[in-house]
Amino acid sequence: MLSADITKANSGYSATQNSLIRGGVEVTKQYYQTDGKITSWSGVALAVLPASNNGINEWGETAGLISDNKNIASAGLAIIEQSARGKGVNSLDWVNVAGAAINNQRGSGKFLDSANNLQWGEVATRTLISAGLSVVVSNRRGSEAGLNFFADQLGNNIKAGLETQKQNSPEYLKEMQTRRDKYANAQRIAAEAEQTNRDFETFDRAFAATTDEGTIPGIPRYLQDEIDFAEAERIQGQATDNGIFSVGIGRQELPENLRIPNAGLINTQDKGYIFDENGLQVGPTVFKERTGLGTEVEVEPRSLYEQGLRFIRDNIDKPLKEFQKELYGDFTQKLDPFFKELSELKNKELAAIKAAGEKAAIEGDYFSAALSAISSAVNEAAFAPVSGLGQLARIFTNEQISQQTGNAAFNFLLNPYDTTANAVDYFANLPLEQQARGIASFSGEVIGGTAAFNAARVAANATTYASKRVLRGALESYDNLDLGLYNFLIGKPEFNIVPPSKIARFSSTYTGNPLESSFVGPHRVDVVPNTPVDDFVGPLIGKSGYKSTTELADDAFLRYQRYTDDAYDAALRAEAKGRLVIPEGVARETVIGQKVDRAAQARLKNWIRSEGIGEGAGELTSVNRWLRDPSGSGSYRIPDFRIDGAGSIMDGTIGYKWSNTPQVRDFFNFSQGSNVTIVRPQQLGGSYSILPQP
Amino acid sequence: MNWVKNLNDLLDFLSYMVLYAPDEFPEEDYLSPEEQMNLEKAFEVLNNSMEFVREKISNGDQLQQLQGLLNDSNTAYKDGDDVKGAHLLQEFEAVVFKDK
Repeated sequence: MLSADITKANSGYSATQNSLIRGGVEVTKQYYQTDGKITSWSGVALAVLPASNNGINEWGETAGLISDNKNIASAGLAIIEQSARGKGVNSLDWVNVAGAAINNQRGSGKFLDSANNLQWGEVATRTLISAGLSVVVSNRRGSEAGLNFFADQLGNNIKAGLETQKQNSPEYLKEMQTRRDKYANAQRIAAEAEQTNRDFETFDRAFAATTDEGTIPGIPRYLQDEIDFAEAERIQGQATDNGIFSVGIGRQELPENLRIPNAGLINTQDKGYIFDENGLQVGPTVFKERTGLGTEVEVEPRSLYEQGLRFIRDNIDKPLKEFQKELYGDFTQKLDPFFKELSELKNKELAAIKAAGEKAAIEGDYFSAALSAISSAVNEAAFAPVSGLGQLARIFTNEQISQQTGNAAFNFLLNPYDTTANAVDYFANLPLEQQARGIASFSGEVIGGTAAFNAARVAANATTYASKRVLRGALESYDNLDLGLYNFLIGKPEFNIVPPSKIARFSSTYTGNPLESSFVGPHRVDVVPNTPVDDFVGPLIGKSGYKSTTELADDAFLRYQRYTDDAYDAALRAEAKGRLVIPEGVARETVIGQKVDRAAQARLKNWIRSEGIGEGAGELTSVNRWLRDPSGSGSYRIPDFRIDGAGSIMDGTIGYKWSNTPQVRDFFNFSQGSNVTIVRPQQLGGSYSILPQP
Repeated sequence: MNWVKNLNDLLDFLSYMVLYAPDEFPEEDYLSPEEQMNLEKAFEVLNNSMEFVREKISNGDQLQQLQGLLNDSNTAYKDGDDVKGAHLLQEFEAVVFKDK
């Protein structure tokens, strides 16, 4: 179009003008032939030179002439002079030249298209003509150097013009507007995030106040306030009399038809499961009080198991429903607003994280953006169970759901080695309401009637595991990233019924991908055989008479776990009451972690001494002692607790440690292959074991 | 049962005290009722553990000050001011274990 216009206009101009028009045509030709690029400005300049031009002088002469005649030169001459004097000429100068040329000639309206966008290609060509004309009028002889300079600068101008043209295109403007909107939105939400965080802090404080235990340990105050405990105790007593498992965790009398001869009182922490010769769990086993785990009792497991199912069907479902209905009659009403508020905050938090990610991406901070992406994925996963919690409240008053809860409870009994992660994998694909049902029913404790608190606790654990699952999924995308996440087991301690020392490997639960989070296939545990009682020849260990270091380690683990759980609860209580001194600059978690570790170790050491078992270098057990590198490097680590004879190292923490954590790696190497159990409070998701690489 | 046999034990025991004193000491299934921990026994353990502190700190004034902290803490707990009692124990810990 441009080329045609110029050609058409050609006939009305003088020879000098024609030469300049030729320059314009050359620009246009190159522009189209090279997809919008001007490749040779010398060519343009030569095309502009008048045919009658004879002499080609130095640039200095040209500059002098221009300078002498600047009062009649256009804005183009002024900037040529500016450049000749060593001053920089930028695109804006040439825009001014263009503006002057346009205004002098025909006005800018001629250079606008139907959408009112400035046609910079056209402008540039006209500028060439106009400014070049000024040069030639001032200096009839012309100058190759001058024109080259002129053409080069004009080239810059045209390039800038083309860029501006692009920048004025509707698509570009739209894209920029979108980006501006997104950025503004991200900024707004990021600003709100601070407020959200403050809201969260307020919420946490309010929640902490309500979780003060009050009258009944283990039950948050906000629930206690709503419950008539005298009435609850009456109902609980009645329920127990009716053969229902008592409410709460602790010692409990088994109903007659589930009782095993000589089993007597049991402690709920001392229950385990029987395995067949292939290591497959075939039914629940109840052990005598303080009998080491994994010790099989003389019972016929299948019939016992069936008895259990029958008992639950016949005796628990209806009375439990009644019990729950009475106990939590108005529970739904009270809890709904609580979870609604939590959900709203969670939504805002998620939006803030996403916004921060978008903001970081727009600002080119891709590292932060990636972190935000992972963080939002984790939070999204965490959010699902939180939403589900809102539904939990309804479970206890909805009769239709109750039956399903019971069904799920049976499934739970059938697959006691499903970890929480398994449950989350399964429930994640269900609608929220079903998730909530599933999570609630997943807790074996619901069968015992401990109700919402425990269900909520399991849901909280599920949240933790869901987060881990998504995080691992995110990490999985980094193909070459060797995180060393091999062979670790995750399970709530109550599901680690086989203690860490007895687990050889979850061999059939891995898909081969070290980062795979889904447990597949039959749930199987390879159990290290117990020391056969008949073959045992002594001596016994400690006052309790452990028959092996493994048996000692099993009991020690359960105790260490309990001591850690107790200490964590106590630390939170102490903090809430203002007993803890948290020095400035030290993280609260650090102080809590130290107090929990040390208090748990104090009890552990005292128990070991009470057993008369040696503790220290060269003794059967070691608490907080050096573990030296046997290669003689001089390096050492200090695990919290070791029983070398059982190949067991236990290390307490409120955080996480994995097989690629240097400390854990050294534990493996220096101990030459002990299993490492990371002992964590159950309130934070519990313990897990890391096995050395095969 | 002697809970503290060295300075490391003392450090652990102080945390145990801060978390459980004055009346939340967990019941130990391996101890008889009369052996269970209480505030009086706990301070007896702490006072006895001063022999290990003396191995580390020889300055008489400082030792007296430390003993004073224990005494004040004990009094605070008995008076029902468990926050003050716990804070004094942590002050004691900060002096004895300033290298930790």
